[in-house]
Amino acid sequence: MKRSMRLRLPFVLRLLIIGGLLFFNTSLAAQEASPQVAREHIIFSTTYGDLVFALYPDIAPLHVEQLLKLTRLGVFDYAQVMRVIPGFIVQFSDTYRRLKPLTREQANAVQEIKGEFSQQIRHTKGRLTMARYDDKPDSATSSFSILLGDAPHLDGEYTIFGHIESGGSVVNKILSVPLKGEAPSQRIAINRAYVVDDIDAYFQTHSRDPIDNMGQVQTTQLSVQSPDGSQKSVPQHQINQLIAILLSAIILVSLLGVLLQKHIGPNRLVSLLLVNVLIGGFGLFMLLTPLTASSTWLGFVLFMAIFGLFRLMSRFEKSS
Amino acid sequence: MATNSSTKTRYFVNAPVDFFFIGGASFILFAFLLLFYTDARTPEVITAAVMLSWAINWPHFSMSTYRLYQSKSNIQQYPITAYVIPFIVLGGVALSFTFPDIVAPYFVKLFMLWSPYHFSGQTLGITFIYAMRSGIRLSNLERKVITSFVLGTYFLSTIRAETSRDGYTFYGVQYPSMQIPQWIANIAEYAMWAAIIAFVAMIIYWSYRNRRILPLMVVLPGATQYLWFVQSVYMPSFQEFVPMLHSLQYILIAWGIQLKEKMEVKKIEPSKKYVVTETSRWFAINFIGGVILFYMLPDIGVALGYTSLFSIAIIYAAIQIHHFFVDGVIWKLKNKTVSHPLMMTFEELTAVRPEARQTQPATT
Repeated sequence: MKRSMRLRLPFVLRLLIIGGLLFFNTSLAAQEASPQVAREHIIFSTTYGDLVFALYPDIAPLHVEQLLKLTRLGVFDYAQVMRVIPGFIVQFSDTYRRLKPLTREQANAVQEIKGEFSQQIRHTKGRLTMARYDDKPDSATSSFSILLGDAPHLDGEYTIFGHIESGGSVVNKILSVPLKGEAPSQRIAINRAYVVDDIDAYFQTHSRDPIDNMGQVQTTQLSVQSPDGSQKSVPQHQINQLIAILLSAIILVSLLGVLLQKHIGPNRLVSLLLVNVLIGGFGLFMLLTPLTASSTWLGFVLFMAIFGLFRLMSRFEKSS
Repeated sequence: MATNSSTKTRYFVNAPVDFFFIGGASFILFAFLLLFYTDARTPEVITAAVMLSWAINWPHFSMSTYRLYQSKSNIQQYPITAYVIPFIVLGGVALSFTFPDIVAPYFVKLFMLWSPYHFSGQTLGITFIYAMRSGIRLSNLERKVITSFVLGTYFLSTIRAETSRDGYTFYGVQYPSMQIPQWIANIAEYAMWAAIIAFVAMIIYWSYRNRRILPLMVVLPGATQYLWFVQSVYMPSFQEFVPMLHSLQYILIAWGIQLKEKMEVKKIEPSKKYVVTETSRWFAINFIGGVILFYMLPDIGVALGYTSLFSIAIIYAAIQIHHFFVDGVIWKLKNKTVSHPLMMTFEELTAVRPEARQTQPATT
């Protein structure tokens, strides 16, 4: 008897605790449902229509201030959708990726923002969350995402600074573009981004596009390539095959030089050696470029090496 | 910088025509788009650029191939370019089709990095041709200043593009960025401005020393490249036309050398009739060549089961990489067989005039 009581009490206690937690969660949800929304709204005029973003100045004042500033400076014009993960996010590229390079004034305005992580507000569908480097909490600059579903694993880790107010069908059109890895297979541009002070006046001339059905679209894949162009999921045996082909080509060209050296003269021999440099250089170029993402200098060193390769090629079949 | 002024041989045709082809068309188009149209890539802009590609850009690629393969002596002079390079480029195409996710992005990227370098090479070549035609012997320092200015615009535009944290797309083929830090792009910008200041100082010093203004045609190619690479980034509509404008420069030079060489080899008497018939024949051949290269060749990829966009991306990249090699050898100014016909004038082609034969010796 005692035993069964001992068993029951914790069970009741557990029920109480779970009930309490649920209540606590619900009240939290109720709390976060109405964060203060700024008077200003940001509009992204994209390839598929307008996206209207509401901002939370009380939750993320630094982020809101920066995004309004960048929008007013025209920093988001000519940017694009960079990453789409169905059920998770639609991410806009950082502004260095714009079609038009930033002016100096614009580039200076793109500053890293201190993270404004809050446990009071949740990463739920429709919220806007700022992108940052995984290992640097204060590295957000201009890239951000629209959440397509709830993402509790981001809570307290990433800054929420607003929500999408209108543009559900636009997001669905973005989602309908086939993907290459996580990147859209065709450019989805932000043709213009601007700030609206009176959102009611805006909606008098633009129809509201609710977000209720946002994300309910099937997205297709075109290939395994990831957005940075690296081939993370390429089978190793393909890389091995490729290396073998390039090495064979180098050996073949070298053999050609050995066999023809008496007939072609030193200048032509140098040209054949340059062909080998080109083949080997191309192989290294393919192997090293994906590594530039994790190195500050490698990209520049690689670029200078490629420039050197082009200079060398201008010595090709030089007249004697 | 020594001078041996010769305005008679300065222009291939005459001042307005040479000015238009070498850079005037770029400035006129830029001003038109800026003042009267738009900086956006509108469908009309893209349509116009594509139409002009058929007439100007595509034939220009055919012209270099035609120039290399039209005579046995050319092929004998450049056997590696004529016989080996096509196989190397074909190898790149085959690998791109076989490994579309591993090789294709880098094959396209190689072309994308090489293309502006190639433009810079042409800019320098044309600058030196007009200096030579104007009777100006550039000193080593002056050549270095001009080269720094031209390559400065190349470095800035390319490094700036490579600061992107994600890739680019060329006809549906995504290719990666080298993710160069932004501060390096800033340094490249300062370096370019330093090179511009040096270039302007050189012009002023030369003009002061020689008591005449440095001929515009020597300055124009560099200024035009600045417009293409630096100013055009704020004008996407203009960028659509830059390859065509580069080809326009090329056509004038290639046309001049083609007519002059043929006239000398076949001992044809100068006449307007010769100019008209040979120009028509040569342009028709290269127009058809351009259509074969750019319109028909991509169909091979489609026939093999690849999408037309992917096939276009790879074939376009291949044609252009091949072109960079061919151009690299057939226009070497140090080669007398190249520099001599490059001194031709329109008058020489149409009527015998003793003074027109007083061409400058090759000095570069």
